[in-house]
Amino acid sequence: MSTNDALEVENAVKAGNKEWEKVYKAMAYQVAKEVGGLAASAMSMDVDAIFLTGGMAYDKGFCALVKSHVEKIAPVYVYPGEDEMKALALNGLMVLNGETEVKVYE
Amino acid sequence: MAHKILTINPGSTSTKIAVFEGEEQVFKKNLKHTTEEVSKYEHIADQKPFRTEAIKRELKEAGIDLSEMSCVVGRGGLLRPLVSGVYEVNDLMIKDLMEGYNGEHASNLGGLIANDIAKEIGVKAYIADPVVVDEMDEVARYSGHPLFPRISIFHALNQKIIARQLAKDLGRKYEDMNIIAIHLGGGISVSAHKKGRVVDTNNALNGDGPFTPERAGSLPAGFLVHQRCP
Repeated sequence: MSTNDALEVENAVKAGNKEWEKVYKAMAYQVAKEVGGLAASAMSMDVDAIFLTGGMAYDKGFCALVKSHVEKIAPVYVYPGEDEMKALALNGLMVLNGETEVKVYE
Repeated sequence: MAHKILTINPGSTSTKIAVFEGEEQVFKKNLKHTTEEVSKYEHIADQKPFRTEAIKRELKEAGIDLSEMSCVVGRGGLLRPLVSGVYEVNDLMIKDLMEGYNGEHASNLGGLIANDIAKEIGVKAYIADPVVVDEMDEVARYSGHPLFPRISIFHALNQKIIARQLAKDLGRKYEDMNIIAIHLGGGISVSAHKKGRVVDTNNALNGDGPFTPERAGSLPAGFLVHQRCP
């Protein structure tokens, strides 16, 4: 594809671009394959939950494609976006609230 | 009163800062640095003083009193591989970040700047879940060639915090669950969180796994070596 912008791909697929739709579906297929691989190997098929996150998780169509492949393994949840600042703050807060032990770098 | 926390996340030509009261973000700013400004320095770590001053100036202008902060948290850099968690900045970490133990990267400045500011106001400086978080099982490290072991590089900070959030939303403990996390960004990481440890993941930065809008992912090695692209 001539772009690295996931949103542009999403819009092109919605607008009926068949070539891009094939690539888009293949990408979802590969994500699902990775999930299935880990479910069988690392988890021995004992999986409680699967979640999607990050910027592309705002794309409901893509999430639905992945979900259709993997939902028989475990329930699928979507937490779109990525907020590194909040993640850093929540980690600090866990320490201040005594919910986690501070580790020593060595 | 809720704790106040200053967070610092340096990128190649900008430094993101934010102040939180408890879980609520009360201030956010993306400080842009010109290429001339950052290219003056031979090493990224040398940019620490000018970025620290820029942060202090910005907070002062916004009327934020640094002395009210309970702690300062910086983005973790390219440190030694480590177990997930919150780490207090110590002398060894400062040395590794200054020298670029695992490579030079703007994120190495996170812990260094956090430490300088925290020292000034008499609180602790931390980093949390850098990309070098490595909790991989030995069996997952094998590839088909001894020169190319599989290594753990993934979106640790976001994956861990969302996994904890999911567990909380389900009324369970992260450490008691088996969760598969899919981070869909410019890179895609798919990781197995087994009872709180990421025992296997694809290398989202420069290696295997699904192709993404920006990266090729796993490619057939034979074709790649002989460049016999069909």
